[in-house]
Amino acid sequence: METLSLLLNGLSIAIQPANLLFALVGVVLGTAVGVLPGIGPAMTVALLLPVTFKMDPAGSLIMFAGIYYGGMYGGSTTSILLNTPGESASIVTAMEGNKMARAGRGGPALATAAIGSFVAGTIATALLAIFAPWLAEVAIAFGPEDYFALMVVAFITVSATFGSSRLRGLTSLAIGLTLGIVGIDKLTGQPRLSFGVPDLLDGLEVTTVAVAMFAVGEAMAVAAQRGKEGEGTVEAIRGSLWMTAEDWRRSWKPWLRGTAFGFPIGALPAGGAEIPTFLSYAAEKRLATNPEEFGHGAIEGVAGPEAANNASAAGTLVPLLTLGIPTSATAAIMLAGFQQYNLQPGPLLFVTSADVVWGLIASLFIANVMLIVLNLPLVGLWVRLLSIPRPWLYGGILVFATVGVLAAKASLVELGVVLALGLMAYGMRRFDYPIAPVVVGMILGPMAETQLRRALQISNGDASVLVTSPISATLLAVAVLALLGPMLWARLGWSMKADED
Amino acid sequence: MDVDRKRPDRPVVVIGAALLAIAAVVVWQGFQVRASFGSQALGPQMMPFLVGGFLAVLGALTVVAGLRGEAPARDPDEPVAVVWIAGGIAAMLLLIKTAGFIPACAVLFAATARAFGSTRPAVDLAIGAAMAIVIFVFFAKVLGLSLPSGLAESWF
Repeated sequence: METLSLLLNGLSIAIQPANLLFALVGVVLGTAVGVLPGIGPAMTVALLLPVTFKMDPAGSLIMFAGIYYGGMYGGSTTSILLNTPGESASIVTAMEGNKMARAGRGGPALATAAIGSFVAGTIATALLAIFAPWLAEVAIAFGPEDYFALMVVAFITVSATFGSSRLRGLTSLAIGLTLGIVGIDKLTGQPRLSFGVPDLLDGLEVTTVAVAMFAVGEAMAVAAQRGKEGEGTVEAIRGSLWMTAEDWRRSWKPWLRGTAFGFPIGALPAGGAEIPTFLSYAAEKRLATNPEEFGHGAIEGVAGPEAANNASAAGTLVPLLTLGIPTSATAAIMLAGFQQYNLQPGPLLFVTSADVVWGLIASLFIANVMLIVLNLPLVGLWVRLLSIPRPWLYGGILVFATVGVLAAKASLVELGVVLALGLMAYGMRRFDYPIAPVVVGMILGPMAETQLRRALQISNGDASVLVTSPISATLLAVAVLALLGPMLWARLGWSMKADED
Repeated sequence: MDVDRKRPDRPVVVIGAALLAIAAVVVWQGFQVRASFGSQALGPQMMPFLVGGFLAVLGALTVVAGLRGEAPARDPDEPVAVVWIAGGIAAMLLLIKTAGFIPACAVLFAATARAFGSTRPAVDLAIGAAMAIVIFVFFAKVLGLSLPSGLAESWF
């Protein structure tokens, strides 16, 4: 078992005191931002990029991954006790979890969410350790045209396949790609879309775009809707935090099924942790012996989706580490984190930076243990975060966010960009445009451009390389299918409806 | 089919037009790029042309969707709150190099709190200022990162 010895080597790196501390800071921050509405793991990682610039790569990447995992745990607490999901991946949890809390079963709901997250996180991290090196070996044969095709698949699935509208999803992607063009062209040194402003020559900072898209846009959207839905009350934690034998019996299968949904969907370039949570909920409802309990606080409806969202977080790391392809906004920003240390995620990362990769994977197991301790016995502490008055909470988030922008680049132009893009992000939320494709497009766009130009240079400008390489041709076919499949489906549905008329 | 047709959604038509305008700017900027060597079409101009074309198609489709009234329904909202937050960031932009980093952060904090319905601006300003002092000291003295600063920070 070569993997096992590499993993043990990674473990020896992960248990160094400094790295344990980074993991702890990461999971604490991650849980906090998961619990708090209005701030999520993607923006938190983006805000920490400038602060961690001078630190040890392994340590800060361990912290980023801890934030990602922690956000998934913390989101469930808010969903269960407040009925306002802290993260989009916890929307489903709120449906059954909040009902349980109101019925005085908040304790078991929190317990099944936390233990389910632990079980799923541990299994999925083990799967990550098994599959990632294998996929890295396959990916070593990829040429630039294959990478370009793979990125096209990621673009399409993140923006078009699962959203509420293909047109709006692709528009978000196009805006992200446009933002990615700003700055000096890496291959020829030509400025593009900089309009003669020197501050824009380096391109837009990831932190700037993330703050505008997430913090400012979200604060504006929530403030504009204030009073429409009511503030919501935080349910007290009632009921023992210990699950009864009955709770365990009803929870363990949904945990495993949730893992089975979450990990592969997270690992495919298919975007986001929301989809597996919805699938898991639907599956539990169908398989339940007591479907009438769903909608009134069924524990299976908490156990499955919570396991699914944690498993998908681990799954997302597979394409990120082995191919350099992010499939969620947080993963895209983590990719930017790798790049700031001149580490290029991809198959070679497992050879050139084996210590960093395996230290990171091993630390995820440790982070999971830390998280279950933080989220079960200490859950009362996190609940207090929810009592911060909303005006101060959002005021604080915006101050921290803008300071983060200025720390990344002490330029007032960046602040102006935050204002302009923040207003745009508010408009996007208002008109139901997704945000993740903007972030993925901005970070992955320049990489896709580099691969495409490299492929065309090798072929002397012959664009047919994209279809003569079997890997690339297959991937592009997948992309076309992902784009047009739902449309054909809808057309069939539409024509059937027309027949009924 | 024409019976189903809803009223045109004017804001969506405007979004589509804005996308077409951005597309035009991206393509125009693509023409401005001049590399001194190598093939232009496969060089730095390719991406602006591709993305500009992509934006133009999406803009046109958005205009059509808007004229057909195909956008999802929207809840009415309070634009005043958005103006408070945008105003807070704009005020920070103006204050940071003059009055200083700390007053700028305090104003942004208070303006955001106002957008969320706070009615005690003096308390909000005080909390914002306290937070900004802690942040400034942490960044400047502990991390050694420089933040833009003005009059207020000259006393540190």
